[in-house]
Amino acid sequence: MERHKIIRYVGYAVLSVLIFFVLLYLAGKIFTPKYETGVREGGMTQDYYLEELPHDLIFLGDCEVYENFSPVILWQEAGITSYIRGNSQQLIWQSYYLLKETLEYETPRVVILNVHSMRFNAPQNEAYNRMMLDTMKWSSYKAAAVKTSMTEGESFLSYVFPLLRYHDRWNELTFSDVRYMFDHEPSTVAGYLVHMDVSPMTRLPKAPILTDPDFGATAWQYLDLIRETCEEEGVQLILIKSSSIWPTWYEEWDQQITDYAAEYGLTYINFIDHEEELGIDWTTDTYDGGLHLNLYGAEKASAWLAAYLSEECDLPDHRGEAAFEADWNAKIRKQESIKALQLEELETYGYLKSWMPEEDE
Amino acid sequence: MLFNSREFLIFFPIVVLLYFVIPKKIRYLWLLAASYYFYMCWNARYALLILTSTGVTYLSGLLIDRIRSSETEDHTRYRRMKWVVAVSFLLNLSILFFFKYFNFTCDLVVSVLGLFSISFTPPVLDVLLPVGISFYTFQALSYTMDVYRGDIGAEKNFFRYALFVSFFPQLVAGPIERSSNLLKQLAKPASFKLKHAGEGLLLMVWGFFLKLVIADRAGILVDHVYNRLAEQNGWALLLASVLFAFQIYCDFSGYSVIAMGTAKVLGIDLMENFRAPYLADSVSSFWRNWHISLTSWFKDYLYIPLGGSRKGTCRKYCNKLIVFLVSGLWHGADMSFVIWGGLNGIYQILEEMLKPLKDKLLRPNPTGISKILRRVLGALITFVLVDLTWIFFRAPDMTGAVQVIRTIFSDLSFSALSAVSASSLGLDSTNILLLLFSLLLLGAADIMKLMGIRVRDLFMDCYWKWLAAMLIGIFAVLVFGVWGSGYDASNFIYFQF
Repeated sequence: MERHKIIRYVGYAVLSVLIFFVLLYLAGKIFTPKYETGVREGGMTQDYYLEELPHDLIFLGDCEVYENFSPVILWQEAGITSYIRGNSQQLIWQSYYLLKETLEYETPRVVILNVHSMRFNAPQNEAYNRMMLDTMKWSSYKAAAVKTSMTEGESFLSYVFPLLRYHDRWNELTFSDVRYMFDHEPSTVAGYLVHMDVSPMTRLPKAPILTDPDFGATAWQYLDLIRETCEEEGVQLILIKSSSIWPTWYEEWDQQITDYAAEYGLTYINFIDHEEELGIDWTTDTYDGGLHLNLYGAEKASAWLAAYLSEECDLPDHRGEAAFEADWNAKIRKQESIKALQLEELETYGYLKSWMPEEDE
Repeated sequence: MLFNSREFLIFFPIVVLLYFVIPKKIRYLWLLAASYYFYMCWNARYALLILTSTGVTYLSGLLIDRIRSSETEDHTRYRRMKWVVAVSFLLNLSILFFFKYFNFTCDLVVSVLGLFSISFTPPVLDVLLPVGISFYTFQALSYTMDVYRGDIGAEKNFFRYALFVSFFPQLVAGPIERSSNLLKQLAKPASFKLKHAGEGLLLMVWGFFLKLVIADRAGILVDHVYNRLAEQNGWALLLASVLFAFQIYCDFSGYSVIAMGTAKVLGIDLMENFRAPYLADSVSSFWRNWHISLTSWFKDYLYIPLGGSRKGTCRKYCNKLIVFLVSGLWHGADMSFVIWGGLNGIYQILEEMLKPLKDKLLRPNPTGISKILRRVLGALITFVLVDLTWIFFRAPDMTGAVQVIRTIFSDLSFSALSAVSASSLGLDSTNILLLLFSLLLLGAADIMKLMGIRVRDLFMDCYWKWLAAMLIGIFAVLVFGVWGSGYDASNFIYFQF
């Protein structure tokens, strides 16, 4: 075949493939679920990338951190700059890869890891994987997080090209899917998801019998990795078990974490043991009957933690520093406006209307 | 390996790239290796069956050729050649019978003996039906017959012949190619041509559209309704039965079109298997345009050898009925397939018997609107008749088929219509609308085909037009196709035959 013909053929092929992948990327952007309206507990990973100033404290964990601690309160109480890198059912290895990613941007003084996710030793649920991983920026950490998290039937390629996973959303697309293709409005305030509704704890579900009390090898492996990474970077690691009534945090689990913390000289705080001190009232401070705290509860837990950190970790008080003041004042205003909006909705409708699935526009 | 699988998306480009890179002389060896790999991805052991079929028909071809060129009397030569053909048919059909019809025959024997109060417990054969066995067996047998008839000479190169039997694009679901068309193309491989590749890729995308957007979407509704026969009213069953006609059409023609496209990229032309069959204005015309490769196979290798129309009207009708009963059996080892085939045969016989009456009643050579009306009416009647037979094809069993037909004809009231909802159909209204729109596209493409316009040619004169058509097609399949999570790459319906 003549040379110029081959070049022409290759040119056509390359151009066609290039255009295809550009369109595939754009389509993926449209079809990936957005969380700016309706359900808010997804896509929270990307909120972090909008942060402009560093943080002295980073939280890692699942819903028990992003619902139970408010960085705004930590700021107001002790001038601590913090951020929660948490997602629904965030697994321990996902926390590890988020930590690695965070360390590419900044080096905090303290990392607080909620150990609730130690109970999971294997991938759990595709929906939660997607909510956490879809909006994580591409890096070797994301690739590793995806590979470690995939449940049976999931494919890596569909994380690279989300259209392959979400193509059947074609009949539920709304204007928001186009509006937020590249744009993003954070649903959290420094990683905290505000909840003003109250749903008191009325009954304590019976704890299932623990058949195998030992945490799995994979969970331990990633806890070790988190600890080692923190050691290498000179970051203090604090283990916590956040407040909750259920799912049950078994004594056997608690003992294993206590032993681990003792072995490596780590601090371990089980907030369940400090509830009286915190002043948590499960009739007013939870929005879902005892699983998570609402803002009333989070304010109490955060105030307690702020005092503890100031005393024990010697975290600097950044209040009075112009850049931080401006940044955190904006966050305070945002949290207050969300709070006001939610209170208004609760008064008017009795539920959070803006959290309901979006109507077709 | 399925066409609509991730493996194929990797397999195919590698096959194409290496095919055009390696020297022409040995390309067939590469295609042969690729074809066997393609088949063995499904079940490696069953490749031995293709090999056996290939070996038997290859040797029979050589033997027939040798006997033909021997210097014996004509009579003796033909007798010997017939013996070779018979042995080839017997061996190949025995394999087919063993895997496909053994249990069916045993059941039939039990039923017949039961009539005479004789009980008999036959052995049950618990083996997987080799994918595509009916297709490659028929293709290999057609070669034996073609050599016997002297239409082609025997292929001397075993590997090239093995490729003819196992050529991966059409190995598992046709079209059932003829040696006169495919073997010579395999012997003289074409150089890479952008036009071939472009046309082939367009065909493949169209095939995927038919399969994933139309057939598999219609399949959701059809399966939902047919799996709950007792709960359905006449309207739901009518809709599901109409949609099944399109499901099976798009499923099978989709596969054939992908096969054609795949081969075209390699520079090989496969025969067209469907030519707008639902626009046919008579059942016989429908069968001339439906699964053309099989219909013509039966015509050439069964109907004509049986005497065709040369031995009187009565014999002709008998031959037609036999052909369609066998065609039914070819499609599946079950009485419902036999009835499906039988009905189609009876339709054609009735059509021929009523032709003089029809000619008397209708004005010959109509023009203008009356021509169009007559054509539309003919197509509608044909569709209804054909669709009635599809009910036997789709229903779980004979009782089910009868129940569907009875409900359709007795429960088409307005109140029943209002009871039909998305939940009773298993498909929401947006999906049904998308399905209707896709069927309109299919209808337009079929009408253009009848008018002699090949839609793909409209995009072949300019790169940008081609690229736009490809991208629109690919994204239509990606977005609207029924695939991915919660969807198992559903097998093409025709694989089971």
